[in-house]
Amino acid sequence: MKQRYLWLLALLSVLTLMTTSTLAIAGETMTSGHVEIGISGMDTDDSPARVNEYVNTRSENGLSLAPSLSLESFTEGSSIGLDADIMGPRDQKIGLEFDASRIFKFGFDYQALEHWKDHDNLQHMGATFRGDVAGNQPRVTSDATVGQLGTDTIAEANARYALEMDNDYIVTRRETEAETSLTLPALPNITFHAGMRIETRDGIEQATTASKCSQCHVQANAKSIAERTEDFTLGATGKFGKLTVEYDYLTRDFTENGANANYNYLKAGSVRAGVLDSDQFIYWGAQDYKVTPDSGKDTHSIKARYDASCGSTLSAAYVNSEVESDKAGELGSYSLDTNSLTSEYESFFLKGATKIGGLRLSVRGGTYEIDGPEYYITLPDRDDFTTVEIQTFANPEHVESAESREVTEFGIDGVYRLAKGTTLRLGYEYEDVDRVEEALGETETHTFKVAVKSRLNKQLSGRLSYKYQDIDDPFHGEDVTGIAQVTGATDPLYPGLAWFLKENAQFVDDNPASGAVYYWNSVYPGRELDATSEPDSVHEAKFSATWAPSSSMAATVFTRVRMEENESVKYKQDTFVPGVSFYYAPSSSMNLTMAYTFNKQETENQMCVGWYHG
Amino acid sequence: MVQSTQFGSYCTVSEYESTVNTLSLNVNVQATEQLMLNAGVTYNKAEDEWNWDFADRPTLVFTGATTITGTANPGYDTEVQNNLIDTYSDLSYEQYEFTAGGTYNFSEAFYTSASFTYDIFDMQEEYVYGDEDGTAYYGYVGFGYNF
Repeated sequence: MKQRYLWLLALLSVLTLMTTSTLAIAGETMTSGHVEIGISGMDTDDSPARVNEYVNTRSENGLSLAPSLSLESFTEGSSIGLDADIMGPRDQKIGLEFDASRIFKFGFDYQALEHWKDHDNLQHMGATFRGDVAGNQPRVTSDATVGQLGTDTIAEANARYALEMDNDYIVTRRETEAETSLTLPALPNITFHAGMRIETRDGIEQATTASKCSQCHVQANAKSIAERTEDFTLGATGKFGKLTVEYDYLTRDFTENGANANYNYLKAGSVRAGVLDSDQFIYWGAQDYKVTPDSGKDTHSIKARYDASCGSTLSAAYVNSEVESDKAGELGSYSLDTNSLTSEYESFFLKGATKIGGLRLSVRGGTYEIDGPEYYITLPDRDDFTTVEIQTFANPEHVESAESREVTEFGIDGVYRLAKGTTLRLGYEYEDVDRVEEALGETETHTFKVAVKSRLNKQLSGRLSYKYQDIDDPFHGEDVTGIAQVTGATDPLYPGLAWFLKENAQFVDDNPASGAVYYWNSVYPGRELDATSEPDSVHEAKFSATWAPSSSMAATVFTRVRMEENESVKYKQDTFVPGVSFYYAPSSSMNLTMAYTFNKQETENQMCVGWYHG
Repeated sequence: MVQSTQFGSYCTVSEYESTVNTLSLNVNVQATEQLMLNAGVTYNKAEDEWNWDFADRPTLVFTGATTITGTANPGYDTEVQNNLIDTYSDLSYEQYEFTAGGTYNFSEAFYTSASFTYDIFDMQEEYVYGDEDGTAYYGYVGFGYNF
């Protein structure tokens, strides 16, 4: 156990003793609960990775001591509760609650859980590259310093592949939370509160990367995970007549102390148009990959609510948050004009609700802004290529975060009582997302909602709702796929095929660079279609009905149908989710529950594959 | 010799279909004044299929100072190879969980409890993680005291 936990456990012990003694002194104490000691056991055959994915009791076969304790104790105005459930070394829950006359409250939770992580065998990476000249694909290694195509023999690569496949990728997550609140008798309308949360993740995960041209040279290594997230909160809630105001401050610190996965990226040896392929790379050689930077976050939030005597309420919320992560470039690859990337979030929202006769009306609106990282990146290897006239890259190049945006939201909901036990709900929502990066566009969404909820009689009730969304310019990539699909030549014998035929173009060795056809000056700029999995229209209907003929029987049927599409990119997705649940208690000593859900989803989307030079 | 080169793309609509069935049954029985029994079954069946069909491509046209027409390397991007891609996304598995347990009260205070769970994960397609068929047995027995 980390040293940093010790002060917390010491505090808990003192508090527990104080509570017990205080309760005993204050008056008659009522205590109940149970204590249990037991043995848990687990055994698996074949692969445990899916059947025991979220580890039940333990990840390895064997027996564990499994004690549990539940305790509740009450006295005049005060209480203490303790729940501990230990099923194995990494399947544990502990909870403690303490209330001293509503003046001081303390809550503590601890839980530990193991998770088997995905372990890709990379066989699918070799789907289109089985004819590689140097041997079978993929080439996988768990050794960070070798794995060079050309220096590995096939046997060595296969041996490393087998070694990597034997790794058990398991991560243990532990979370410790504590919350306290203090309401002084001399200041009864103000409650001070503070809290902490410590989350750790330890173990190993699979880290995958690839060298040079596409997925020919795939590498997977074990990446050590040693993450720690510390949250501390401090705030106060004040009640001043009909006005309630709450302020909270959160500071978060994230650190990753695990060793990074490392790979010796391959250096291509071919020469095209008089230029070494390796000179076209922005990095090669030994590099860390799948690096998680350390980061910090500070958030201030203020919420206010005013409850008017007529049943109307007005609430407002303001949030300001700043995230900073360490990022200073990578030696040998690139450098940045900063040592950290910062992102600031600021939001302000208002909500009002009132009742006018049989109509309950609520209106809400607000705006938030994300000011994401903005920096210059320098790629030294680009400068080595400046003698070639097709070089059009800026170096250093300005980068604007795709997160940066201004968002405006507005919504109105009305609930009208049509008859006894029957209500009609109508709603409208508007959202405008204006991204700073102009190429990503401005998305405008209109949402219309209608729902009827009814209790027809004591036995039968139900709800039916429908939602329609009209989305203008959804998040998408412009001209990111479909080389030559708009202005190129098409082949009538092969629908879907299109190409450019460039005269006076060169692609072979020993030619001058002028007129040479490369991925970046011809192939990539030749992409003419947009791509997205975001819809521009959505229809969604939900239905549920419950029949409860008696207190010992109830049946519910429900279904959800969602249809979304975006014709401009040939995207379409239909979702159908019906289900039923049933409860029956034929006698006071027996009850049965049954639930069934079916989920079917069909998706269509246009996909393109480029072809050039083999 | 006139130098030229050709490049382009092949586009088609791919289809993805996913179905998931989830069924659970549970029963609790107070068998005698001292004995409480419970049992449950959970069944999951999931199937995913991705269809992306390729046509073969026309012969690439390359004419250069040192090459002749139609020398594209066909080893990387044949129709047969590309049509293998979607098969790795086929997913099909069934999962069963059987649980039984009970509590026997020796007195108002002392009791014993036990439970047993049998899990089966049965894959019909290897997806991208290989063969992950597995079975697991979980057991617990304990003695407790109510106060």
